[in-house]
Amino acid sequence: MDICNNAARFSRLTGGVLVVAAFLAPHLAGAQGFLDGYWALSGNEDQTEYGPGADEGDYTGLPITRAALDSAHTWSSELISVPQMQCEPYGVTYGQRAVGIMRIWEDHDPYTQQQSQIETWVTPQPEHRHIWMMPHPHPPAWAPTTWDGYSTGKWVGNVLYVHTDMIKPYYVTRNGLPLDDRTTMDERFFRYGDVLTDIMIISDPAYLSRPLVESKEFNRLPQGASGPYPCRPNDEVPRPEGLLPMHLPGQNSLLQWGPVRAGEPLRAAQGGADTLFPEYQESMKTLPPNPKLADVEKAEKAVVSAGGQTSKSDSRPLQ
Amino acid sequence: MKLFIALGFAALAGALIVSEAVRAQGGPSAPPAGPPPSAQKAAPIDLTGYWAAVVSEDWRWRMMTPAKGDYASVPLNVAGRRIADEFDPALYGGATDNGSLGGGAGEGQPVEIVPIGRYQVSGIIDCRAYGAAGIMRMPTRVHISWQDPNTLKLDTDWGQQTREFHFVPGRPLMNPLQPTAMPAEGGGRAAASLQGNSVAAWELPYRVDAPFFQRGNRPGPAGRGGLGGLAAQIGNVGDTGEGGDLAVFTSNLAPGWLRRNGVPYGERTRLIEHFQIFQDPSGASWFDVTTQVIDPEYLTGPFLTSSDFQKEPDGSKWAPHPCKQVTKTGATAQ
Repeated sequence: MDICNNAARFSRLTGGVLVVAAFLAPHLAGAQGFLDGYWALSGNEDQTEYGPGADEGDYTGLPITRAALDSAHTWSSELISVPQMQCEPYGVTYGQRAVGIMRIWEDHDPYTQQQSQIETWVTPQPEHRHIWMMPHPHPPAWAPTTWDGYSTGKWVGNVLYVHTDMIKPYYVTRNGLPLDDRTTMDERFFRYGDVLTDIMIISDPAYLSRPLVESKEFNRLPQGASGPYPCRPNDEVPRPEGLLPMHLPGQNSLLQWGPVRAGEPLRAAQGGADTLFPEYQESMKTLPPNPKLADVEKAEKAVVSAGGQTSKSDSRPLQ
Repeated sequence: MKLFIALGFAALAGALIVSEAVRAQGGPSAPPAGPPPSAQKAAPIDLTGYWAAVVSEDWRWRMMTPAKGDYASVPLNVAGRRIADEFDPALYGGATDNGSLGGGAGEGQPVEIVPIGRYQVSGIIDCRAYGAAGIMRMPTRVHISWQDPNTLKLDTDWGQQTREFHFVPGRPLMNPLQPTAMPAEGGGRAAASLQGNSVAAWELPYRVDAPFFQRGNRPGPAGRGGLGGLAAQIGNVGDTGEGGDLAVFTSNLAPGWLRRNGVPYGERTRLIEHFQIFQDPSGASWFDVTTQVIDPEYLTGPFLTSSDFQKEPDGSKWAPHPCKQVTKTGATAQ
């Protein structure tokens, strides 16, 4: 009899809980799980970033400062073959813009079942982000910066807003344009059915003259997968011990070949905020013609065979 | 014992039915009776004003006329590549190998003299580059305004095109592939055109499993929504009516170009766009348009891009540039 009474009480209690849960379920669901899953970057934009990376000297469409340009001119593409840098992951400002798959999943507070954080894993270069959705202590200013930075997020409607700081200095693009450790990034994640748009707004007081806005699209992968990152450095290029590939300021002879081959005006290849707007289509008509590609290649070969580098003229005004 | 278990399940089933009924009726904030509000009144976001394209992506393929045969990133099929490879830079004043200027006024016509050379700055941009499937990727300013309470108009200064987004309050689109051609006067199907026919709808915060368009319409405090669908239940502000975007579906297009070097799209192309607004840390307002070009004729899959426009305080930088219709015998302004 007691067993029957207990069962009846249990059943009534269960029924009541389920009634409440059924009413609350649509509201608790909220945006949780909205972005969960595997997302493949669409390769229909910025082909050079998804593939080989931009050539040295090609900084088109980027609102960079003169300081960024000077720094980039000292960068050498041979750096990626230095063992110490071969396994360097992409920074958070770049990972979503490079070829790969992004996995998004959420974590819940075990007691309230409220969304506590959203995590992302971007491959092939590993980028594991924690986007804190509940109050979480910000790292102190003296804490080391990291590749993924410190991210907080909130839902506005079904749009995920994310702010990231404490980012370890990385590059705007893979051809040496630097970012400062004061860089911050604001993102808006919009989902339209099986398409995800990540708008990245990158701000850097040192190397960007205005926020850089990049919007990237992803296609949902119903049965996606992402692997580990078993990167092991190797001596791929014989070079003297301690040699760090670089160009001395004003002595990089490799800056013209990429833009000239692509048919980009050399001045436009130096980037800058003015080159981003429609009126620049008119401004370009006043620029001097590029040198012939054959002449550029001939000059570069001469420099290489001589074992040195030429200086280049740089007409871009200071910003 | 079995009876108690059965009663428990009955309670659960009843609760679910009641919950769904409450959701279906829009809950305590069910829309008032009467005609649905106009699209202008129901707008969850404000897209009106002057906006400038900010070309920080694909600069080489957007700000200049790319080289002949350069269709990187576009999922062209064989037929599409064959047409793209027929592009003749000499007709457009583009670059030539020897550094001199190309033509620009048509075959056998005088060369257009502009101080360019050895890079792909066109003297002439063909109107086909400003068709609906390519225009939002072009460097241009746009002016968005309400032509009437249910028609949003988008004008461009470069190319001087006009797009019209037609809303139909109370008649939601449920299938993105349904025919949307507007009937011509006197009946029949309207002729295909560069901008085609665009139908539009506001999308409010929605559930993932909701139908394609009209994902959520619970009227917010300002009377938003009202186009049919499910209640807004996403996020911490879903019930306040925040968020939302503009969805536009375009068909009945005349053939055009995805890029100004003749990368084609065909007349069976359909276009799905989502317009969304946001602000950068400096407080500047932007809109982003995510565009899917679906062309069974020349593409192997959807061509997916997103383009960003920054708001301007007024139209002082508006600079009309007509496009031209280029033929082998010459170029004429549109």
